Amino acid sequence: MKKLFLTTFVLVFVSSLVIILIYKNFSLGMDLAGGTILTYQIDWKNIDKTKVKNVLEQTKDLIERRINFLGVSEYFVSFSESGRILIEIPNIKDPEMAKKMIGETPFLEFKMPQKDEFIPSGLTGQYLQKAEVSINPNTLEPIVSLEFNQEGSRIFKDLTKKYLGQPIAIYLDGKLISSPIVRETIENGKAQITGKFTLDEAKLLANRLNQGALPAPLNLIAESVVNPILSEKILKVALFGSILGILLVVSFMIIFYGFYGFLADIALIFFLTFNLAFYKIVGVTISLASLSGLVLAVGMAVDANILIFERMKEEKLKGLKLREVINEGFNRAFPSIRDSNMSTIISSLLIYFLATSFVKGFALTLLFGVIFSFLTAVFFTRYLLEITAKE
Amino acid sequence: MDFIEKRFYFYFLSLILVLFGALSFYIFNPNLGIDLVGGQILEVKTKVNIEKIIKKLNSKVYFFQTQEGYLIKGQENLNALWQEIQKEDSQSQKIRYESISPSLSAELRSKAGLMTILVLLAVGSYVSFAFYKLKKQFSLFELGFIVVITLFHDVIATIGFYVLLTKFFNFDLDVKFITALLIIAGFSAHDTIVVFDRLRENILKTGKKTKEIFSSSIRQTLRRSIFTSLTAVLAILPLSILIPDLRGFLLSIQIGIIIGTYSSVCLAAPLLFDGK
Repeated sequence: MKKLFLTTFVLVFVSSLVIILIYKNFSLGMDLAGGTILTYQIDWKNIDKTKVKNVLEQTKDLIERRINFLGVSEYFVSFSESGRILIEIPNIKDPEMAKKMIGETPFLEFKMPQKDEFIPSGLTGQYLQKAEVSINPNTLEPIVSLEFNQEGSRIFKDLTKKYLGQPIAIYLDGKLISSPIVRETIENGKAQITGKFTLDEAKLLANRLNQGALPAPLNLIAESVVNPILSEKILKVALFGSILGILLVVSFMIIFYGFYGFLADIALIFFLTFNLAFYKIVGVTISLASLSGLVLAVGMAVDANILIFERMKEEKLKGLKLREVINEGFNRAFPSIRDSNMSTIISSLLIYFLATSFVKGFALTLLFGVIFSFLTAVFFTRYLLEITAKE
Repeated sequence: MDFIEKRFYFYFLSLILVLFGALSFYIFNPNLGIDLVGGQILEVKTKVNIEKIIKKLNSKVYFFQTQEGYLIKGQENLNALWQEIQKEDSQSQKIRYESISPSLSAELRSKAGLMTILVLLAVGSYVSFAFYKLKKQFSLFELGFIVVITLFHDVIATIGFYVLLTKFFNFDLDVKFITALLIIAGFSAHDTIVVFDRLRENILKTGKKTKEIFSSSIRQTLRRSIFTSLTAVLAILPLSILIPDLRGFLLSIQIGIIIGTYSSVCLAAPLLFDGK
C-alpha cells in the first residue's frame, strides 16, 4: 500500500516536471505581458428581438475580420450571448488604432456647398459598393477610389450635375479630407479621394470602407492598456517577490521545526511542481493575481504541517513511541485541518464563479493550492515522516 | 497570560475595532475604485508638471507619483489631459490606461454584492456545521452566535484598518478589496476551529468546563494559531511590499489574517466561556 502510494506520487511528480519542461512558456496575463483588453457591449436598444441572433452572428464575423486586418500575431476574442465581447491583444503597438479598427465604422460623407459652408448632401458611405487603393500616375500619391452602388451613383450624378464648377467636400468621421472642384457630371458612380495619406493609411481606409458598418452599435464599456515597458519590469519583480515569499516560508519551517520542517519543505516543492504543471494542463494564465493566489496558498499549505508537528510535540511529551507520535499527531490534527481548509475552498470557489477578471485568477490558484496542499502537506509529509522514522 | 481572565479588555478592544470599522467610511471618506463607480486611470511617464495641466483644464481628477511617473485617476475622460501632456512633452509615454464605463461598474457593483452575500452565507453555514460536533458541550445557538460575531468582527475591523490606510497610501475601495474581505471571512474560522477542537477534546477528557480548561486550551493552541497565520502573512509580504498594484489587496488580507487570529483567541473562545 505504502509502495503504491509512493510510486503514484513519484510518477505524478516526474510527469509534472516533464509537463513544465516541455511547455516552457506559461501564458502570461496582460499585466505581466503588456497588451490591450477591450470590452464591448452590443447596444440592443434599437434591435428587434427576433434579430438578436442574427446581429450577434454578423457582429462576430465582422469583429473577427476587423481584428485579422490589424495583423496582430495573436489575439483572443470571446463573445457572450448577452452581446458582451471581450478582446485581448498582447503586445500591440498602437491600441488607439486597434480601437478605431474594431469598434468604429468609418463615416464617409459627401457634402455640398451652400454659401460659405458645406452641408450634408445625403450621399454617405452606406451607398458604397467598394473602395480600392490606387496610385495617382501624375503625382504618385496614393488615392482611394470609390465605387457607389446604383442608388449612390444616381445621387452622385445629380450632385455633380448641380454643383458643376463648384467644390464638393468629402468628410471622413466628421473631418474634411478634400474638397475637389467638380469638372464634369459623373455618371458611372466613381469617385476618388485624394488626401495627404501615406500608402498604409490609404489601404487602411479602403479596407475599413469595404467592411461596412456593424449591424448594431458597439459600446466600449471597458478598456485596459498596459505598456510592455511596465509589464516587463513588473514580471521580474513579481517573480522575485513570489520566490522570496516562498523562501521565507521555507526558512520559517526549518527554523522552528528543524528536520520535520525540512520534510515539510520537500513536500512544499512537490506542491509547487503539481500546481505549476496543473496550470499548464488547465491553461491558467500567470498574472499578478494568480501569482498572489499561489503564494498565499504556499503560506497556507504549511499550516497543516504546523498543526501536525505541534500536535506531535505534545504526543511526544506523553512518552509515546515515534510511530505512535506520528499517528496520533496526524489523526488528531486532521479534523482541524480539514475544517479550516474547507471554509477557504468554499469562499474561493464562490469567488471564482461570481467574480470577474483579476479576482478570478486569484481565487482559482488559491483554490487549487488549498486542494493540492491536502495531498502534499498531509499525506505526503506523513509518508516522508514514516520512512525517515524507520531509520 | 490568562486570556479568559483578561477577556473584558479584549471585548472592549474588539468593540472599539468594530465601531471604528463601521464609522471609518464617515471619518475618512475613502476613494472608491473605478470598477465600482466607473472612471479612468492613466499612468504616464512624462516631464510635464501634471498639477499645472490639471489646473489648466480645470478637471476634477487626482494624481500621485509612482515609480514610473504619475498615476491620474478620475471619473471623467482623460483623453484631453493626455493630449495636453503630449503637447507639452512629446516624449511622454502612456504606461497604462484603464477605463470602465458607468454601466459596467453598476454591473460589477451588483455582482460584488451578490458575491458578498453568498460567500458570507456559505462560509457561515460551513463553520456552523463544523462546530456542530460541539453540540453536546455547548448550545448550538451560542455557537452560531459566535460564528456570526467573529465573522463580522474580522471583516468590519479589517475595513477600519484598510480605510485608515487609504489616507496614507493610494488605495481605493474596489472589487479587489471586497474579495480580500471575503477571503478573510473564509480564513476567519481557521484558528477558531483549532481552539474549539482543543476545547472539546479537553472537556471530553476532564468532564469539566472550568475557566482553567478554557485558559489552558487557548494556551495550548496559541503557538500554532500564531504560526499558521504568520506563515500566510510572511508568504505574501514581499509581494505586498514590492508590487504597488497588489499592495492594497495583499495588505488587507494580511491585516484580516492577523485580526482573525486575534479574534479566535481573544474573542471567540472567551465568548464561548461566558455563554457556557
